Amino acid sequence: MRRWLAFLIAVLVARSVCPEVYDEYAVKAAYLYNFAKFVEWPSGTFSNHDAPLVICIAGDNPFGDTLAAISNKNVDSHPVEVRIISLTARLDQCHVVFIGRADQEQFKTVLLKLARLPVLTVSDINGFAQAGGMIELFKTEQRIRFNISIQATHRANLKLSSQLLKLATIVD
Amino acid sequence: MIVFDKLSIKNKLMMVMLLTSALVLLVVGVALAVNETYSQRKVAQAQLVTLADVIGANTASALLFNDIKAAEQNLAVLRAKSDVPYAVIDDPENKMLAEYRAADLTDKQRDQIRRWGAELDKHDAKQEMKSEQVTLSEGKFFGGQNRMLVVKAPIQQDGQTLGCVVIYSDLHELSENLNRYYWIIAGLLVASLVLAALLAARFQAVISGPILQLRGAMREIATTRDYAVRVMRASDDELGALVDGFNDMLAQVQRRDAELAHYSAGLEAEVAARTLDLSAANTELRHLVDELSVAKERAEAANQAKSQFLANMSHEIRTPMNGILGMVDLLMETGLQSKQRHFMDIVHQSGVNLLNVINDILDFSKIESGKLELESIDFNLLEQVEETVTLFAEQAQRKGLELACSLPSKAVAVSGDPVRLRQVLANLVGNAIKFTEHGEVIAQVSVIEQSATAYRLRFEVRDTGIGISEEARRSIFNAFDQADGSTTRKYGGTGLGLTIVKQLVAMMGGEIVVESAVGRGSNFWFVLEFQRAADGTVVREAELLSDLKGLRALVVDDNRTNREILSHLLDAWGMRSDSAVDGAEALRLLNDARQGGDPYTVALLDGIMPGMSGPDLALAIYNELQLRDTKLILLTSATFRGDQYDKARQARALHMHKPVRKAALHRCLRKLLKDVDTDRPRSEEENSLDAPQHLRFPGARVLLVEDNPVNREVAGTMLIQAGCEVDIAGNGREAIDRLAQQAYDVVLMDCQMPVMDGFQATAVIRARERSGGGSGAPPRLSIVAVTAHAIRGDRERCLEAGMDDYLCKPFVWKELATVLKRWLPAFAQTVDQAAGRVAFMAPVSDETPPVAPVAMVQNNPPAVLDMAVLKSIREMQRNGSPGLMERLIDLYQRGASTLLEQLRGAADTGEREELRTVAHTLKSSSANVGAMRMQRLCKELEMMARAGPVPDAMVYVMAIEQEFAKVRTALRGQLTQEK
Repeated sequence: MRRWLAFLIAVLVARSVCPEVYDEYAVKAAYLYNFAKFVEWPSGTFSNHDAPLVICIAGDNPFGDTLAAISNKNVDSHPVEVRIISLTARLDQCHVVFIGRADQEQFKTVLLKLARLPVLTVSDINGFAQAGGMIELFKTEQRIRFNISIQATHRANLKLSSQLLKLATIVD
Repeated sequence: MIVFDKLSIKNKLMMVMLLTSALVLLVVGVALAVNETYSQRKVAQAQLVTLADVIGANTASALLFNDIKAAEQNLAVLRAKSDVPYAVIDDPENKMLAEYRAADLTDKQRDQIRRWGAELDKHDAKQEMKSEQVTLSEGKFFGGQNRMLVVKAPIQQDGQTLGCVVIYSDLHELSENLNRYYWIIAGLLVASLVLAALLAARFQAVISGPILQLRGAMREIATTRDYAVRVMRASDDELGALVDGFNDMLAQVQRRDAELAHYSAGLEAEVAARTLDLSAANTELRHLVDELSVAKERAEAANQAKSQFLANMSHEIRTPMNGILGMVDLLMETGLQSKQRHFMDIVHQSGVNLLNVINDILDFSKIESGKLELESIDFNLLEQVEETVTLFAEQAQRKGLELACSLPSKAVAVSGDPVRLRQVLANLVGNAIKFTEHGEVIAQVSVIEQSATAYRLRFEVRDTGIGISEEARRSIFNAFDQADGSTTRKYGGTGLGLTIVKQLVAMMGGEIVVESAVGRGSNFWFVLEFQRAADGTVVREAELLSDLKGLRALVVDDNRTNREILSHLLDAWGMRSDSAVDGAEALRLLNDARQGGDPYTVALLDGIMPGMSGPDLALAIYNELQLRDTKLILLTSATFRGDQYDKARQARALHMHKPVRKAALHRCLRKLLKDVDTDRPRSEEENSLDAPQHLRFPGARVLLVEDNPVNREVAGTMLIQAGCEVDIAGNGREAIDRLAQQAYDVVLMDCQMPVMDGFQATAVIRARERSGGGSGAPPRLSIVAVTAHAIRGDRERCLEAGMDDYLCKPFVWKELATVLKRWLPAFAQTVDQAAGRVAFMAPVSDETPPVAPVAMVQNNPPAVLDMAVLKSIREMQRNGSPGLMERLIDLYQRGASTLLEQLRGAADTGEREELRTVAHTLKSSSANVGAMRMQRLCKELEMMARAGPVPDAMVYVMAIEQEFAKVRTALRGQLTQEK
């Protein structure tokens, strides 16, 4: 049973990492989950070791159903919880916050709200990283790459794995 | 292993060490290499696995974010690993996401590598089905020639497998490392071995060194024998012990040597000392021996001198004796008055006695000095006995004694000394006759035992004489001892005779025994053993037996012993004999036999019997007509005289001397019976056999070489009376001069003469004969030695000197005549002393006993040529055969020369048959031309050759040659006369 499950998951994940086959946001959703894996939150962020890792889609949800693929997954011992919340709602409960291009005007506000909070900010808005965001997804050569602002992460007291940093373009 | 065995100990040690270290090093090296290979591989594998893990860990995020470039960059770190030509990152579906290729990897190599990878995966996939864990990093080696190591490491993130890293390594770095390592190992191995060899070379010396040293020492000792050599001890181990032991042994040997040397030195000293002793003893001994031999030589010289003295004495005595006896002999022939004759007889007898004494003394001294040696000659023993006894016939007759021989019927031929045996018997018989006044003397020989090789014979001389007292018998054989002193005076004699007899018998291996009773006679007997002689000397027994067998014979004798002896003889020849004691009985027996139809063929009549004498009986038988054809033999010891002689003649009886000799009797009987058969005239054959004393040698030229005038006179007179032409030479030198001037038929050569003695003269004569032996010369001059030396060995000396015969002084005519007859057979003629006394034949032997003159049937002495034969040839010639005479003579001369040569050859080689046939041929052809003397000589030779071996054939041949020379001359005379 477990093997079958593993096989299924493997197949699903494999699909998620093949952006050509699925739409752009499916890939971005997988990225969100993957990012969580390479980030070390400050101690005490999680109340206990099986406290959920909350991924918040702030504002408009561009992912559609694809988010289902990442919910019910674990990062380390923490189960992933995807929440779609409004920009204005409290974001301090979130561990990862995604801001879609639709909310281009409001992202700075959100960023302000989240300043100094240990929350990983991800967006596919151009210039996000330069604007104080942490990870900016962008599309190049049919592939989705990302920029990372190490200062932003430092400010938020998050440690990003070198693995991740290695793949990213560091903007500051 | 054989190779190993042959190695020296040094090489063996090195070999062992090297082999050991090489083996150890090899094992270690291999272990190291294996271990290194294994661990290197492990390390290489672990390295690669680590590498793959690191790459996989680093690549996980890249895969998560689909960043292939980043993945490829990760793989690119492999560039640092030169032995990784290819690496790849696959997704979980084995789809290649990223790959790495070394710069020099070609596509083809890549494809090959990938194919291998696929095969490996397939293989793994099968295994995966079984194992739970698939994702562990692992490394695997594969590939054939290009071995490769494949390391597969999964890429995982949060338990999720994102793919895998596969790294292919061709391990060339590993191989290089390993190769380098192998080389180092190999190098170390070699270096170690070299080191080991060097060390072994050094260390083996530790063991082999002392051994070699030991061996060297042994060799040196073996060659130099220097046992003082010691071997240095180098170590404290077993080798050290060996060296110690060796040194010990050497020390012992050295000690022994020293002891031995000491010993031998002592021994030498001792030997030297002993040798000194010995040589001292030796010298002493030698002195002693020298002294002894001097003494011995002296003794021998003394003995020699004594013998020589005796010989000289006998010579000195013999020479005058020769004169006495010879002259008496001659004087007796002259007309003497009866008184004178009587005196002469005494003188003669005294001389003879004196001679006997001298002979006895000589013999005795020879026996005493051990000089007498017995000869070993084959001879007919019975003949010798008969002859010996016969010598005494006259003596016995004179005393009226019966003298007889009783001998075994078969001939006994033995090997021994006939002369000495005769001497013994003569002594005994002579004694017996001397001491017997009447009765008989019997000499008897009987065979006690005989084997294939030997005879044991008993000799016995019995008489019926005065006998010997027991007392006298004890000393009878002692020298100069007769029965008693008076007998010596009565009977004469030296008393040496029996002593000589005893000693001679002892020398021949017997012992003489005397049995006697005074007044009843004596019996001397002894037993001797003789070896049988070679067959030749045996008389022809078969011949003897053949023709007399079955004939009837009558023996008439008043003496019983004589009758028995004669009957015995006749019976032995197969005749049937009877005997009568007197004439009356004889006549009765003869008549009875005649009437019974079985008459006696022959009657043997004793000459003197009581009543009717032999001749009386003979005449009586002859006068009875029916008994007239009985053959008569008169046996007498002496000549019949007067009417007895006439009666015997009238009765036509044959005469035989007593004692009767077997052979003579046999010949006589055969002759008689032959006459019966052939009816030939009786007088034909017998006349040739003459007594030597009646022989004359008319015309023979004799050279007498003699220095002693008396002897010259004696011998000269004898020769002249015998009709010889005598020349006299006073010594050898003169003789040689004489011989140079004139030829002689015989030379009588005295041995001891002044100027040149007989031996030298003979040597010169013989030498001249050899050098100047021309064709016409007479073949060989006959030289007869005349010597007074009666010692044995003288005869040999004479013959050695080249003389032909030997005559011992003193001699009487009979002896001289016997010798001359041997050398002048052609001249020998019998004297016809009494014409008209013809009735009796001479005994039928060559040597007749010295009896008084016997009448013989006598032809005129044969001339060289019988004119009657020549006359008949002439007659034939006249009757139409002109020149026959000349042809015949020529033929004869040529044939005879050849025959004579053959004859000489046959005589030389002893070919009897050849001798006989040639003599026969020559006899016949000689008769043809009337050479009757020659014919006679040949005939004699032929007869002798027929009878047996002829030892003196050469004498005959020479005589024939001489005769032939005369015949030739005579024939030549006849031929001139013819013309």
